[in-house]
Amino acid sequence: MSAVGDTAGRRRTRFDPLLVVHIATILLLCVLILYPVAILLNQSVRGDDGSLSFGWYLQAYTSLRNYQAILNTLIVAFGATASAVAIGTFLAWAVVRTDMPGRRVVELASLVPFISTPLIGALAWILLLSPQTGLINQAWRFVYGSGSIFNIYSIWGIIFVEALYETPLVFLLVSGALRSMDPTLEEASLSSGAGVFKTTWRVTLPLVLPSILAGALLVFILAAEQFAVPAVLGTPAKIRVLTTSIFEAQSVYPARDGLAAALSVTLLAIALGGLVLHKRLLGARSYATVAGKAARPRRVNLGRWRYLLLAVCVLYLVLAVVLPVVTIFLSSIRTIWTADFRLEQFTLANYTRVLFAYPAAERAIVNSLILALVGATATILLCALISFLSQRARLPGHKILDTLAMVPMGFPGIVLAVGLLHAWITPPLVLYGTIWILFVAYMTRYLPVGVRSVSASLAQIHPELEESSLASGATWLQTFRHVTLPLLKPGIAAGWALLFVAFTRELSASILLYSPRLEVLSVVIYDLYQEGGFRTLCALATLQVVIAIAVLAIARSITRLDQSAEAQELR
Amino acid sequence: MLGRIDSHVDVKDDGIANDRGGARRMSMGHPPGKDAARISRRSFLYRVGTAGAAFSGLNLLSREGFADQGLLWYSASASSADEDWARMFRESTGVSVEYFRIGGVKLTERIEQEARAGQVRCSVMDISIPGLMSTWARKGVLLQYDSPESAHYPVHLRMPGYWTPINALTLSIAYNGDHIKAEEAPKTWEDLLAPKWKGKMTMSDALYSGAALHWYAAMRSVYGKSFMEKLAKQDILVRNGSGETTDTIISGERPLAAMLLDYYVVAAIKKGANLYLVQPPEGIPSSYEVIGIPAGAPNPQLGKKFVDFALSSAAQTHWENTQGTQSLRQDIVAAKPERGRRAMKDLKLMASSVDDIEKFFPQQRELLDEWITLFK
Repeated sequence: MSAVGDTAGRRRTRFDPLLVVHIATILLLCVLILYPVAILLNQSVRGDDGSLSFGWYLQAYTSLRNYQAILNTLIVAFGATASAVAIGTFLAWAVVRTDMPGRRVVELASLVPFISTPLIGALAWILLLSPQTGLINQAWRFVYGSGSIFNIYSIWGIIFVEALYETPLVFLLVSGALRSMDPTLEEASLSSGAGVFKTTWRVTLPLVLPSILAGALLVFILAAEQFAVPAVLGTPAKIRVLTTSIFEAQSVYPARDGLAAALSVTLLAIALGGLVLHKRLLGARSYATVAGKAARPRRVNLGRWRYLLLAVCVLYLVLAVVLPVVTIFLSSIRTIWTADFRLEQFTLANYTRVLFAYPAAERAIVNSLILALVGATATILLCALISFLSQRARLPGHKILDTLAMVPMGFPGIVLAVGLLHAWITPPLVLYGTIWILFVAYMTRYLPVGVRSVSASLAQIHPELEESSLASGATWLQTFRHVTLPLLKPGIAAGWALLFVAFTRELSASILLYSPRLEVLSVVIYDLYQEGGFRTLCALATLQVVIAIAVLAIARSITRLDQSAEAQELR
Repeated sequence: MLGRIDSHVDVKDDGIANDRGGARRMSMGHPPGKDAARISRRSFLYRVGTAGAAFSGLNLLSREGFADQGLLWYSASASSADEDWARMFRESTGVSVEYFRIGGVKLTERIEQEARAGQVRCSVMDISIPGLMSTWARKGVLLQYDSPESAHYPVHLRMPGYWTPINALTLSIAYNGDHIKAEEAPKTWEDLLAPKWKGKMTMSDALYSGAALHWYAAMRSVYGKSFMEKLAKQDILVRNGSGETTDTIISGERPLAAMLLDYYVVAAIKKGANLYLVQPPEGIPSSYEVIGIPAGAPNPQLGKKFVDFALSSAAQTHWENTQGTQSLRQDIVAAKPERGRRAMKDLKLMASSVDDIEKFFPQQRELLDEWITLFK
């Protein structure tokens, strides 16, 4: 690769178009990412009269309610992280290192975030575990007379639903590490007399610990950023987190712009802190047991326990996918939600309403699909350009490019939205109220997903191909257009599909940035929930699930979409 | 950065799984034929995708203009009510109406944001915070229009030339008759403080509903802050909008609403829900859903037409019959009293004159903060 860099260095002239593109890309990323942050910081230190003031921070950290929100954010993030790490690691171990039957089925766990969204999950669990009307709680009362088994409107409910959706990330990272681990280390331990479980505990676990920690940090960031689950499950129980407090401060009249900004900066600091730690951890790690050879790890013989283990794993899948999706679907074809499923309660009216009678829903379907189609296409092309510039062209400053492109990982959607709102609401360039502000938000937010997807596949293309193009006299841009881009097609297609799905379900930035006539799917689902239109929203949620499954099925059939960890950040 | 971990997933294979990511691993020894076979399909989709993207990109751009897209109506009324009027208006004028419905407190923030962005998108709006409408009128944000229909409304309940109420937002106690017997139901606002209602009540969110905020302001001015504090200790489940609160008492999750916009209850009763209203003799708070036209509306003529329609006796009667609203129009048959709801003329209102409402408005932020501290 350095040879490529040298070639580029020799060929560069004063007005190298590549350099222009390079600088333009860096500037674009600065506008996309740094500008809203700057606006946010500025907003957070301006009093109502525009003078410099730290009053908003004072209010953010000293008022009991805001303090409670920060505390709850951390509790939820730690709780979800601990649960997701425990379940995810367990699933990974069961699939990779045991002789449990049905391992292929359990591996579907990695698809969970593709199929539904945390918003849909939270709504489904309300139908199942709301204290009075939840089906499971009704069944409980039928058997035990009174009370309920679990109240989903609680901090435990939030942690439960978030953990279900974040487990697959840990599962993927840890199962990857388990697979690539050198089995001779375990064999050495076993032959020295340690038992199977002692070996697992003392040898296997420490070896995959870096992957577990990396997963834990990502889960922590995602859990702290989560808006839909606490908004739906926490609000009725008076549980506030940072994301919901920011939304509240920003969306009601009269808005508290400064407070929203100060809380946003706080959440941003938490998430970016996690991201920096994550980067440090991966940078420092040197557990070089990943050999190039396809070593088959030893499987623990579980005997009779294998079925118990399978049952536990299947339970996860049932809780994370089967129950929520079936519940949402059942709710969408009924007139009311009760425990007795009588035939006359079944109806298609919810679907006809969504498709033909409820204009906001019709508009949302169209808008979301347009945004996904155009947005994913534009974003993936930008991502391809960034990958190419940072991995191949390597002009001065390519590290900045690389770092900038990853920053949005620690950029919570709602924080981005507050930044964009203030950045693009005043002339000269007013993006507020147009579909472009959503476009910019989505592009910025999912940049890392696209860049990682493209970079992973770029890393597998040998630079010799590009070098020979250059050697034959093509310019860098020609090489990019005619050599790199075509070779990257599979990676681009996979990334495109991920972005497409992500764009059709984005909520936490859209909720502050959408406008009348420019509604998007998740926003309408959320608004319907607020209005009490539960049956209608279930029809819309079912459509959203169907769209995602269809796109991913198509994408997989043509590109064999990689189920890598980037897929897990669809939220 | 993550790539290093991801690659574990890609590179290895343990026999159970997974040929996923196969296409990516071109350089890792897959037979080239496999990929070659896929390319035509892929490039086909690629082209279709490009064409689609280009088309919809144009489509995106064409969505910018608002004037030529019919009438956009911002509303804080119930969405089924909006749906009704949109249909009636289309049937009588041939003009299609798109409505955007959201709680009053959020709707107003949105309108202010759009004003900051220099955008006026709607040509008519109804909000549940009349005090704000008056402020806007004084600031010149409202278009001056005196609908001929507004003469039928009491002059002390409108701001001539700017806004007129499309219905009264009376706020009552409501309960589910399947769970609470009439004789046990609360009769006065003070009854809500009885220990037996602890954990049994719900109400709408003042951060969402303008009427809910007025209820708080009015109740507080009559009963004092200490009453509100005691009420807050009753563990009231706060729901977002009135629709959700109504659903909560229908489902029985909380059988009693400490406060609810009563037209939502009457609409639910009309659909067969076994709900009852309690309107204490000492009076109930009422705000007003008021309609007006923003200055700089993209389609002021249609906006005026819609205001005339909304205030007309046909539209008002229709809403009374189907949506359970109480009209303030003087020359139509008043909504029938039912299930504990009094006729408008027999109703004693509490701290709810337009003067009261205008007096509360400047304190909106403080009132909201106080409400949040108590109930949320």
